[in-house]
Amino acid sequence: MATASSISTHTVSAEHRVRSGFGRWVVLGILLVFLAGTLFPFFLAAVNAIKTPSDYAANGPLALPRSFDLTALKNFWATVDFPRKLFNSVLISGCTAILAVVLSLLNAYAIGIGRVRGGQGVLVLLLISIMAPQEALVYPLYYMSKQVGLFDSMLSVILIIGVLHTAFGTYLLSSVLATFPREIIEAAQIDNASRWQILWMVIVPVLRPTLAVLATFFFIWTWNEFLIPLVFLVSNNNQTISVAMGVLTGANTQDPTAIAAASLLGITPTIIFFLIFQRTLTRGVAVGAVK
Amino acid sequence: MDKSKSAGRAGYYLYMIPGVLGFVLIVLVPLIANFAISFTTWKGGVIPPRYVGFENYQRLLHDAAFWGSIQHTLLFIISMTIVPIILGLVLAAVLFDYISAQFSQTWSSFFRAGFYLPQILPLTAAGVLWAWILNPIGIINAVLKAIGLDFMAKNWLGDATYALWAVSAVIVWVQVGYCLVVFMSGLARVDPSLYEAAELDNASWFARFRAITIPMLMPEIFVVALTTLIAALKVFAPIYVLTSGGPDNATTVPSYLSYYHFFTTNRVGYAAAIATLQTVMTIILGIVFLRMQSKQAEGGH
Amino acid sequence: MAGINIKSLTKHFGAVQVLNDIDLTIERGEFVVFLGGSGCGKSTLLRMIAGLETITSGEIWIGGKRVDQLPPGERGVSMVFQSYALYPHMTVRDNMSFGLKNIKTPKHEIARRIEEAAKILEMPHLLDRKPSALSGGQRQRVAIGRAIVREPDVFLFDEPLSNLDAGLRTRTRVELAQLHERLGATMVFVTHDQVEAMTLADRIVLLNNKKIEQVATPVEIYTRPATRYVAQFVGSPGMNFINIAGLDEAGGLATATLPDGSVIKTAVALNGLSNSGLTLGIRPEHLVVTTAEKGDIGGQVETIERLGDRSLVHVRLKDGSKIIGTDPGMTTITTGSPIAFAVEATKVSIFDEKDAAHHSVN
Repeated sequence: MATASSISTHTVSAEHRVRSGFGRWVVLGILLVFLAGTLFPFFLAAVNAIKTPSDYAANGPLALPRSFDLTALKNFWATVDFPRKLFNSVLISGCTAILAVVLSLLNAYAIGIGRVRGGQGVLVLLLISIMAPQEALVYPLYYMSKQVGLFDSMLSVILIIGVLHTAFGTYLLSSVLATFPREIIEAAQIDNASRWQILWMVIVPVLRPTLAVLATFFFIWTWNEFLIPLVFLVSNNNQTISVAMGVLTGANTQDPTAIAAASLLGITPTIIFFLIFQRTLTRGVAVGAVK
Repeated sequence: MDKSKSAGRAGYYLYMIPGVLGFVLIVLVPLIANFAISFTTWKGGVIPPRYVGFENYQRLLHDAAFWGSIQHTLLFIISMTIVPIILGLVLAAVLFDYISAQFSQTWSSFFRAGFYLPQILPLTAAGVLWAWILNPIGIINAVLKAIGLDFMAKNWLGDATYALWAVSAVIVWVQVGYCLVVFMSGLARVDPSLYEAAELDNASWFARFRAITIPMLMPEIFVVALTTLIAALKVFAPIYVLTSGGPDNATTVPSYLSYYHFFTTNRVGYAAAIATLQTVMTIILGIVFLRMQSKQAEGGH
Repeated sequence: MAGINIKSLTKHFGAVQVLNDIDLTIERGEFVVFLGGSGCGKSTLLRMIAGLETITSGEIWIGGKRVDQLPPGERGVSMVFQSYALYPHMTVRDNMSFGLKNIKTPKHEIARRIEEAAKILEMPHLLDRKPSALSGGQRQRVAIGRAIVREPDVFLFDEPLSNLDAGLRTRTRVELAQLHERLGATMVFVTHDQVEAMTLADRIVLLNNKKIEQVATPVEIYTRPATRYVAQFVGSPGMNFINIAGLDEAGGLATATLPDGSVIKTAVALNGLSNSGLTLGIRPEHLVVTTAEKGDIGGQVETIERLGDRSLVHVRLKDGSKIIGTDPGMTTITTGSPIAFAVEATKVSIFDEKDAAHHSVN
């Protein structure tokens, strides 16, 4: 990982260290216990989702499954129309990520490179996007979307969440762009490039890694969004996985394997994303946090 | 005077138009509208809202559920901000300073990835999972029974005494990973020779932690504190999924309360008042925090 | 190719004035160097010609066209930046063709120009590499190549050699001079290094404190500096400055008496010199070691620097002030010994209380 290699250049390598014997195994052991506790729910979901109900009733939740039974998973998959929800989540998260990145880029271009007057003021204003609870926005937006006929459409969710994420993106990108080497931009100006051309042909190619990190963040945050999709996507066809999970508790089914299956399916997509994007994520958190 | 420069700058303003337009439409206008609605009684339907002045706010002041929600929020600040930060700091220091050195980089990264995993789940999925685990006939109680601690088995989410703690525990579980990752990446920029000098000075691990790790991580601590604080004030999904604010409003928070009144009881004006108060609180806390942070940064450490 | 005309140019950054009423004419095909210490405004002046800084008032004309309100791309200039400013994600070829593509130059024309520039700069093998795969000197060439293919009216260089190591700097200096020879282009070059200025320039524009101190050929700047600032800026080791205690006349020319008692004959006209606040200036190479009888000024040797082809002799005068003179070759003078210098009268300059220079009459 990128951060891993930077870490290893900073810490003393293990070979040169005097290993203090017993103590370190104790620490390792304690950590492993903590880790087990942290990952336990995942394990539970995975193990119990593939049990038969009788297996569960007989042997309890902690026992390993006697057989490999996919009925619970298949049931949940079908009743909730999981593929549809998956598709919706992917579509909404993807489009929102792209929208938010583009809007952030345009804003940051004006503020970080164009150094427009009032740019700092805009940044402060955007803070409101981050601080205001979504509840304070949701009802007027609900009403407005009904007026323009966008209610219960994925477009409304994409637009709203996209704009909300743009605040963070603008912050990040404008501080990155403020340190972009000015001389390259000046060279491009002398090369007759218009502002638009400079943005897309000079800045974006150089900024690509940062934009990728930002898009990944936005994708995952949008995937996990709850309130906005809950309010705006009422019909089953349009709901996201996050909402599907949320309304499940209302159903209050007592079948443990069913719930386990639901949980497993609910969390698997994000775990897959995580494993794929692990590198980008951890690098991105560093970028965002340390500025 | 600088004619071409302002002409130059004007071009850049155009780039901000989509973003600012979006902001106005989706944040500013609704915020103001919500503020206006808070002074009305409205069912949200065709019947137009009726102006009632400060009535909603007055009623709020006497609403036990509202005050309860504020109290619970304060508690959730502990579980969403304070505890994860402390745990995150300790874990980060142990992983970074100790495990990396005593074992290897890979172990350290392995632990970090593992602890971070809960962060990436949709809160609702995590909620479903934990609701199942914390169920009276669920796993926690089954485990307790199995190891003979029968008497400790409780109705974790259904009992008003325990619900708050149960939800807090879930929140800690989710949040520690975020703090951990941020702090570990912050530690990467700390000069290792500081630790080595401290070791030569016979400083124990804890002494090093206090004297080096914490001061050097102040920027990260502030960022994490601010973001988790705001998240704590806005928390919604876990409550919705785990307890629906119950039992008996034992775990309700302002977000949930306003949602409830917006869409279930349809007391839109009332809900708008709650949301407005919540916004004001968050912004005030945010400003206070940012002031603290800039004073800290100025004063140097 | 075009000349540059600057009229009454003034520049403020906010409340701070950086350049004050600059007038300058640069001829077609000239190699002009803007020389000065840091903060004197030379880079700002260059960037104003390029259009990268706005002007507060005044006019800039390039080749008979007024350009000060035009964007950088429309002025017919090319610029080579100190940090080269290459587009990091593009190959060398794309770096060079970017500008031409923007003005819709036909493809075959772009290819032809790139090929020619690559030949001139000896880098055809680099065309498909990216800047990260090039050395500093190679990036330099690409930056120059990018400037050449635009076939501009004026080439602008903003301290392009500062980031190169010493050996490369000397070599590139020579190559730049050859490039100028070959292209016959109008070139404006900014530097703080007087050696670069002296070796490359047709004329030097020396800037100081928001104004032009002097515009002249290197020879003239060296032998007849207009002000004390110019005199001490150019030349290494610098000119000796000694306060004049008194003035006498000899055939219409001034004879100076120095605080240590020495009497120095000069070829400077006495007319026009005030009575006080005068300084005598003489370059070390014009203070030649001689015998005590033939010497005009002398003292005790403090330090000797043997440079190989000549030696610099640091001398302490009777009144405590210090001067530097020369002895050809590896001198056999020893420190601590008394020494005398002969002063070439025609090489003496006198600086008045306003620091303006008065030189010998011929």
